[in-house]
Amino acid sequence: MTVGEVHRISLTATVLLPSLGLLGGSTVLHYATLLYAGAVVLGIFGLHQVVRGRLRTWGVHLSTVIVFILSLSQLSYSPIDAALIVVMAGIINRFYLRSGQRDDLIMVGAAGVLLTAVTIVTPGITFAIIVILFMPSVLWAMLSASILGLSDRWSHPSERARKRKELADRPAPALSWTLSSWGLLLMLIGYIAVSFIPRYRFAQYFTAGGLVNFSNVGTRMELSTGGVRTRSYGTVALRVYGINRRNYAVEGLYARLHVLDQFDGRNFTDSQGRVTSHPSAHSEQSEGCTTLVALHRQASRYEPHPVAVLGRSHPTRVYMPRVQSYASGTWVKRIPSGALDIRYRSCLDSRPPAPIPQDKREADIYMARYLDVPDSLDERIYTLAKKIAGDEYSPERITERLLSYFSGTFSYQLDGLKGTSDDPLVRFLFEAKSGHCELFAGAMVVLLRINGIPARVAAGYYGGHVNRPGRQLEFTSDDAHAWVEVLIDGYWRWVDATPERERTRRRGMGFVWLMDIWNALESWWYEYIIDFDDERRRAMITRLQNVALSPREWMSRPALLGQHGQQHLRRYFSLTGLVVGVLFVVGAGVLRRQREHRRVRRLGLKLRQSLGGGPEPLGVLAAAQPATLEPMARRVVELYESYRYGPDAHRPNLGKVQQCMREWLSMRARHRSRQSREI
Amino acid sequence: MKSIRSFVLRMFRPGLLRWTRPPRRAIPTLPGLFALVSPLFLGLAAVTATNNLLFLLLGATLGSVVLSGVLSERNIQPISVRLRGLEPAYVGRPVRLEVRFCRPPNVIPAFDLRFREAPNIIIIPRWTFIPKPPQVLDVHMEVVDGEEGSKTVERIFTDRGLARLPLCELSTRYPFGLLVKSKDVTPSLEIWVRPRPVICPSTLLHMPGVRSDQGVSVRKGQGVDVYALRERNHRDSIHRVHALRSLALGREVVLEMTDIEQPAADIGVATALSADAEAMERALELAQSALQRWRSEGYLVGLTTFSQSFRPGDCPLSVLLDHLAQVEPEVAWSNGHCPRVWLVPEGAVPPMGTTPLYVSSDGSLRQGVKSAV
Repeated sequence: MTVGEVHRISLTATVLLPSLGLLGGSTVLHYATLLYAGAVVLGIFGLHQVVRGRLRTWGVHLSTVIVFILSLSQLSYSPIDAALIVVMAGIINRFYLRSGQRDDLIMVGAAGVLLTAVTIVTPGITFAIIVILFMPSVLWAMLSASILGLSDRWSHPSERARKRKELADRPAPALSWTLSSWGLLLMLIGYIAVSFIPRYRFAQYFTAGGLVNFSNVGTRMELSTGGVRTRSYGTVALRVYGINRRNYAVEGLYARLHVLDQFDGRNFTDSQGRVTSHPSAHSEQSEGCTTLVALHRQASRYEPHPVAVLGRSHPTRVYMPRVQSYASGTWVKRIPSGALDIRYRSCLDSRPPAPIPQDKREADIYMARYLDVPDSLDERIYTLAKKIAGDEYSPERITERLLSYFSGTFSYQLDGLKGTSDDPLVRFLFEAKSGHCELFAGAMVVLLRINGIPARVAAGYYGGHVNRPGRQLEFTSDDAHAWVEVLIDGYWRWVDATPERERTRRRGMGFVWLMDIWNALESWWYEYIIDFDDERRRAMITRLQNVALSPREWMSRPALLGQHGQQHLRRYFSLTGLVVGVLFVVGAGVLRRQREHRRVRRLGLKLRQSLGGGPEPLGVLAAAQPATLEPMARRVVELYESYRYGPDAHRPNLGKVQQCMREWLSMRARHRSRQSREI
Repeated sequence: MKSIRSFVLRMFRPGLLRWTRPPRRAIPTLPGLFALVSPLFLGLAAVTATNNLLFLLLGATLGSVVLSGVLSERNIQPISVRLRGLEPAYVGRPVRLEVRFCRPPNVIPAFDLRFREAPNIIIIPRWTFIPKPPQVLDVHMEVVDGEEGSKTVERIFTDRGLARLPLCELSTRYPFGLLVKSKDVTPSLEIWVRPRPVICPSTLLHMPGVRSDQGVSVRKGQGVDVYALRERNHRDSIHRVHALRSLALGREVVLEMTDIEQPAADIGVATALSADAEAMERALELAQSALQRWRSEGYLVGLTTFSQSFRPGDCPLSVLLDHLAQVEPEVAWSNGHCPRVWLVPEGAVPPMGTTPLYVSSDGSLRQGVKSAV
């Protein structure tokens, strides 16, 4: 490839790649990015033109000014969007009117600004792909721009154009692998190096400008439970890891995010103040019992949530790295990196004590909250509750009867609630007798409370999908679910009135393995890049220190080398062996290359001496040889230069060059001896 | 005390400057300045936002700067520079020099090499494209594809003698145009600079005794037969021009001689150690101009200085001019061929028995009395 071709491709890729990430932004930015990408693609065809007409120049300037004015209209409520659109307009302007290295570097810098914005908009594994392609593109664009920029030294425009064309037609330097691999390697090394910088959390005191602060975007995420929303509308992913990443969570897992304990006759809401106290989180009324609208940041690492794990007895970790909703706004004011990392303990074997106060008065107040039933409740519901309970007084028996009632006569459906009553609970229990999980859970809680059993609605996820490549259990919005918590014998017990087969909307689909690999990659990306915080960094350093220091201790006390130590020892030696092997291969390659260079250098010196020496080029020296020697001299010089400077595809074998050199030396020696005899 | 201090500074400052001068200098260009400053803001944003992706971009930016340094080092490290004069050099006149960039085998071509004199330049602000006067050397080589690459430039030397270039530097903006990386180069230039060309004064041309026209010439043909006329060439002395025939024909013609002994002219320069340095330079310039003028008129020329003597016809003019470039003051004139007329700079004493032409430091001539034998 020529330098010009490399420049066109790399510069176009440099300015286009960030647009892939920006497409996931707000609606205005989305359409602006599409227009930008279209303009850049159209501009590719005009990249080679250096001389421009006046009409074209002013047309491009006018378009830039119009876009600038239009973006000002966005400035009042979306300044970051407006700023990014202005950057895009600037890139397009320079892209069409580019005239040298300065413009190229401006475009590269502006593309860097766009990529910085992409870190906010698209933090997922897509960013990894973008940045991996972006780095070589930038390096190649700057390198080719630097070469083409040499034509700027010619003051006359025609001379400059001629020189630029001459440089553009040159073959590109043979640096393809060197440049790309060095770029990516240094990026990785740089990341590791700078990631050791401690986080000072200056954000508590001030905001670092527009880089991380987007306005007019919702910090709110819509969490739709019960499957009333489609997957494309909102996606919530929970991932559950086992200890040491070896044990998987199993099917049947309930992950509770909230409990809704206050019932006003139509909706259940959170009375803890946790959800409602947050300015961006609230519960809102809906057709069903309850639709929870909550901020995803409410589930933070500092607020441990108990999650029941069926069949599990060890502590597990819920991981929710990705929460996004295209409709209600994706961007948040800060990256919710650590905020979605939930640590919790299982409560199966060692059931946690119920938070019932010891004081009787306070305990009564506490219990009354979960027995509260509004006076406006329909009388038919009271009658039904008493009828199902019958003469049973045991809370367990009453709960079993209620579950049997729902499983026998009710069906699951996601359609709108049928019936004519204004009260959705009446419509569900007496008219439709079908509905989604929130209706089942809400009705169950009301019937339990009427019978004097404290109960509340739990909202979260059920089921999940085992992602084997990623060794994780994943939840999506299809797994969103609501169920019931009943206070029996001082402990909250979980019951689920929804028919078992309908508790999750997740169904089998094609290319699951592909999605699993993608999700596993994304999980790895979040694990080691996005959420790699101080705590985990310190843990990694400690592990590395253990690996590095342990063998010395093991060697001194081999008796102490148990199974754990053997495992570490194996890991240590395999790691050391791997490093030594890599160093050996790289070192052997470098030494081989240096040896070849030395050999070629000696060959060149020998050839120059045999041609008579002097600073002139070898071709001139060969032409000055006697007529009998000249053809052979030209041949050996041609072979030598093609070996040394020629492209890889046409490079002759070194043995062939050496053979030709030997022939040349012997011919020259014969010529000299003949000359001496004549003298 | 002040004199001692200035003496110490004068003695040791150049060495100290050279010793403290770093072997490599990397000066950022304007885009490079932005590339170096942007990590500060990016790092601040990364630390503030605790966004690891910004750390990744920060690493990438720093990595590209490091890569720029590595590749530019690979570009200029193996390059050596050789200079060669392509024509005789005179003081104050541009001379063409060939600058040759040599390097060991390397498949990758070397791009964007700039070689220039940097006598006192420590910080180079950035590239400038304004054409510079050729008092300093400034060569730019776009690409060196093979083992060697050369370029011809002009340079004016201000001093007579062996041309010595100050410490030069080789720099490059390759590969990304972010840094101007430079290294010091000591050029090996071997060129003798002859005295400044001046107009030969008429006093010197008409000085009796410096020219002899008694060449033995035998005409071809008999009597008034002028069949041996031919056109004048550059070797023919002007006094051989046949005036009447030239006027008739409209071009200069000379008589063809069967045997020609060219006229001779020679002069001496009193290059005494006691002579004023400026005056001696002027004397050498006058001597050079006279020799060139005489030679153009067809004379065999000779030159005598205190160090060496060349009789007319002994050697070509270029040797004499090179000798003028190399001449150094001597204590006294050693015996040898002695011209009748000497150019004597102020402060010097002419050899006895010769006619001195005293030369002042401003180049004016003053005829003296013939010294006693």
